[in-house]
Amino acid sequence: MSFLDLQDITLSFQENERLFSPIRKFNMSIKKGEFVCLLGRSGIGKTCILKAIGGFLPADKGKVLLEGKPVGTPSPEIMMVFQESHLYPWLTVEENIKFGLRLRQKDSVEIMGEVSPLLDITGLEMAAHKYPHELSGGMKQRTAIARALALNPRLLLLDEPFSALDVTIRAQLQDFIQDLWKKLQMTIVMVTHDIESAILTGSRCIVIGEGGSIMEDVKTTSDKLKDRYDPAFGKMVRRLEGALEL
Amino acid sequence: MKNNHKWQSAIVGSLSLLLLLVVWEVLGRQTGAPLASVLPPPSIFLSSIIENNFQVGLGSQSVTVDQAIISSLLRVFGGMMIAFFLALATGALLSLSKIASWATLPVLHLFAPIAPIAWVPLGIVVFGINNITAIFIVFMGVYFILTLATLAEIKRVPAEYLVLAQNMGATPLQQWTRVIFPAILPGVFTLLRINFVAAWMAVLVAEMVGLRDGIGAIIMMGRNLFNSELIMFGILLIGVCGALVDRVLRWIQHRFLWWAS
Repeated sequence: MSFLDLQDITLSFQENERLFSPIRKFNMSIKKGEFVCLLGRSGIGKTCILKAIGGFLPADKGKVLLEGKPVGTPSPEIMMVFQESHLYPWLTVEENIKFGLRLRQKDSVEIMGEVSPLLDITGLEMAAHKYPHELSGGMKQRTAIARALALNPRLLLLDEPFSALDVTIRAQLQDFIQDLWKKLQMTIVMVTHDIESAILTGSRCIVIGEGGSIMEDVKTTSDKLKDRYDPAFGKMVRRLEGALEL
Repeated sequence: MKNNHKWQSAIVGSLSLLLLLVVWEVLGRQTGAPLASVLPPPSIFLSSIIENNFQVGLGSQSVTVDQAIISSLLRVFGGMMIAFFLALATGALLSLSKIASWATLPVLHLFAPIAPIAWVPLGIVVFGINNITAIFIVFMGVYFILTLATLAEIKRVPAEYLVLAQNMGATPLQQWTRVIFPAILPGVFTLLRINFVAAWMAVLVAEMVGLRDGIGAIIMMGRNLFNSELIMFGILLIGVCGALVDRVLRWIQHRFLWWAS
């Protein structure tokens, strides 16, 4: 049995009083511990798929199953990190990370015991008492990821986490997410339009086409694919570009 | 650089105040000039107040200056605080129901532009001449504007804040207390601060037309006693207290509700 199953899902949403139906009868299975990158052109419906997995967008038809059980409304079991970090500006880095734990009425010693390792793993100890406006884009995203991880989710969803960042910070965050995935061995689904980021960070890349058709589905675990100067990396980039019709 | 500008602006601002006092002092000291009789210089009316141990008025109507200041401030803050918390509650409740907000918005828009001073006669007729009237006037002048501001601020809360809170398992009540209220407080408080001046003026008018104490009453006492020193002292007190309260409100905003400023 797969860890995550999307069975014949059809998705639609309303924007400016117009109805959009970007995904029709989409199927996808993900194994536990995989780091899947969803690639596709803008507006193809990648984020819709991610929202459906998280329970933010109910499917018109079909099922989203997490370990065989249907996903209902959003819950801490599946945490999502958005394109913009959306940290609460009135809370410090540490308080933002503690936010979800405080909702569960845990005592402060227990909360600190869970947050301290996260501050360490995300390299945010020195910034723990800073407010979001004092952080760089990369630190904000790391805080958002730490906030999601604090609730110990079974699945982490990342919606274009690199898009609002400059090139240097983007590279650092890619490495950070890759390290995190290796250390925590968790299942991640990331939406991106950046082919190189997808190959470098993910263990599997899926290219979504018009209507939600799968244009390409490849494993990217090979060490050669983690070196952008290796010919295999360039070949994979061209293959995915072809699938994206770039 | 920013610190330099802060000091420069403080120095220039203090100098301009000092210049005003000097001009006032010079004009007031010109013996024989008609202006001098109605515009006593600060050195004269301030020393006269100090000589009287900060006591103004005659007989049973006399009050100390600190009592007058406290009375006026309590009226303004009482009315503003009641209006602030009730506006937050009303705005929150209205945002939960479209039909309730459709029904209430025209009423709010009708009452919001009415200046607090306009409520003075009605307040006196309904409640008589007492503190409740003053608090009522401030409340009516601030409540409707703040309710509209609360509604607008709630609409401006980024949807993602709530989606994330929901994702982290927040109940609807927790979403209100931990996300919506902290997000809207700075905006609503800014409007409260802006409306302080109107509320302050309304209380002073109420004190001038009926209430027996407060800073407004000092000016009326001066008029009744043909005492221009008392009138000028009252005017100066209104300005100084108003400016100080605005500073305090600004400090509260920057210290505790800084994230939207």
